[in-house]
Amino acid sequence: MPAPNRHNYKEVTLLVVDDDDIDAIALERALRKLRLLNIVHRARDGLEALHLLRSGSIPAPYIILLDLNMPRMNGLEFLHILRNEPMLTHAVVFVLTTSKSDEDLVAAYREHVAGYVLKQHMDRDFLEVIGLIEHYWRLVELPVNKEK
Amino acid sequence: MSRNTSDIKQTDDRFRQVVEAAPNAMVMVDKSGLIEMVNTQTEIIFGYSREELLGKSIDCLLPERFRHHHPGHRDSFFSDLRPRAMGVGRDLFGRRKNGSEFPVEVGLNPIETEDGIKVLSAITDISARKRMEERFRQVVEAAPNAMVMVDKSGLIEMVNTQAEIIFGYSREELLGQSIDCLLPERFRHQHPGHRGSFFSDLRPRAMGVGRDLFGRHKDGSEFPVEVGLNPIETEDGIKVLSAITDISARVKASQKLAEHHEELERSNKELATFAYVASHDLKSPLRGIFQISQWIEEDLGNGDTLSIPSHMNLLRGRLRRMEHLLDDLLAYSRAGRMEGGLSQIDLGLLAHDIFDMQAPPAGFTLVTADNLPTFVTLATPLEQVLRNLFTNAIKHHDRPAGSITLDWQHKNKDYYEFSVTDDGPGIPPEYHERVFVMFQTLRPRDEVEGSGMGLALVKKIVATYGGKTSITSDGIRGTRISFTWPLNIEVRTPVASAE
Repeated sequence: MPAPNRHNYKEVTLLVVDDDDIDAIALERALRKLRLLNIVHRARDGLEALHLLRSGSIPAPYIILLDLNMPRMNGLEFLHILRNEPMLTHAVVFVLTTSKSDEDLVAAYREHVAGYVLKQHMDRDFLEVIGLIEHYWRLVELPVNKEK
Repeated sequence: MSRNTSDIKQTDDRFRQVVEAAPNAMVMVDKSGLIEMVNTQTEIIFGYSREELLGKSIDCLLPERFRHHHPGHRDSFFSDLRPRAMGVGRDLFGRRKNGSEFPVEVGLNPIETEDGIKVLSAITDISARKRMEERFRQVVEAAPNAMVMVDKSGLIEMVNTQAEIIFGYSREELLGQSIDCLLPERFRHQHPGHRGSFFSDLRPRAMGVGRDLFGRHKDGSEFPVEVGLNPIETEDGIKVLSAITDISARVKASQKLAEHHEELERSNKELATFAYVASHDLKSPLRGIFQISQWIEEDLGNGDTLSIPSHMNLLRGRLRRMEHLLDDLLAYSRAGRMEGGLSQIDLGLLAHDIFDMQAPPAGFTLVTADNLPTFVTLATPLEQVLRNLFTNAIKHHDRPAGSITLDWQHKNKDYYEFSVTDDGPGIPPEYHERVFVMFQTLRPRDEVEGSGMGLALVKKIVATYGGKTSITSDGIRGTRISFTWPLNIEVRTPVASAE
């Protein structure tokens, strides 16, 4: 597969919020396989992710890939705080989780996530997800932080 | 003179006819107690003929044991002449010619005659009424619950054996007392009001509908009761017969039911939590293993063998984590069931044994209060609690050296409070609730391997024996976990251990 011409598109930064190292490695492997050179940042829980975002360490435009079950601050708590912060409320968030619970699903969409993806549907690495997200960021205009 | 005599005779005759026609026995005596006149009823109920009685002392109609008092009573009647009932408040008896006795009621009337003052007594055989009363008494006595009859002013007139039993007073102690002595003091002031309203609307009903009623035992203890009230009309006015049931057993049973219900709700909630976490925390190592197996396949396919050892390492790490999670989950589900037996422990020694078993890094020490108690308890669960607290204190410590302290106090008469304090990084207050939830960790498992079950397990074990677990930490330095532990542990029947 030919390498996409990245220069036609704005570089999208990925922020992976997941406490599981294997998932983080799997994500990087999927990016490499698709020859995507996006910058990936990693946070191990919601609190760490908030610190990164608030400190401006994550350059816009960015997409957040969010796990739900994490230490200290879980994904739903993170989403709730995110949506109430004027600087961060517009962030595009995909939830990647093992939780099939309807409560979690509804709660996530209530916080306006772009998609809720179940991890067990990803037998073939994170390829499908990364493929989806790649298409997404190519077609969709992402918000750029103009307030800055 | 003859005219006068015949007038008097006529009056006398008429008087005799009236006396004769009276429905009860009539006996007229003179001041010295000699019988001057009797009627047919008198002959019938006492069994003497008129001739046998006339001129005799009235005392022959009395049981012998009352005879010696009689002249005195008679004299006092003569000194205060007015019609009245004889012997108010005392039981009166008549004596038949054959020596048998029967209960009577006697009305006394002074009569002035030419020969001086006489007393006309009207005597009624009240055997039938007494029998009815006795039957009523027997019915009350045979009732399965306590029965107490009070008069309008609340004084107790009758009680049965059940009442003696449930209130602890003897019959003699109760009769004539105010019913209030059977009520807890705090309700006494309302009682006259309630009684008044009952008497103003007389119908059988339950007392205090919608309120919880309590009886008070002689020893001051209280017990829940149900009370039914029945108005009873008697000759001395209206009485209230209350039927009192001790419902302690029922109240206890319904409390127990509520407790079971609560327990069931709690365990259902726990099951729901379990199902939720199992779907994430137990599945995630499996998913990891699945993914790593794919990486190995891919990398081998690409001829990249260098990555294989690290993949294998990760793989084994996930397997160990899975095993650890399952072990802790099992321990959690069994908490409070695998309790072993009672044994005497010296807590100071036990704590040091447990600490040494953890193989703590060289810089770690355990400091125990030197007066830690020696007592009989279930050693296994207490060990489990201490082991988990020590493991946590060591595992989560952020420095190469650390000190763990075990101290204690008497929390109250039933519980000790033990505290394990470390000088680690502390737990910020906002996480104090979360750390007790199963599978919750404050750091990713890839940083600090842990099931997230330790404190959940501690809390559950402690709660099994009625204790409480609490946490103190400013989140800057040091954490103190305190738990209460019964002085005298109750070995529960091993019903729940059927697994």
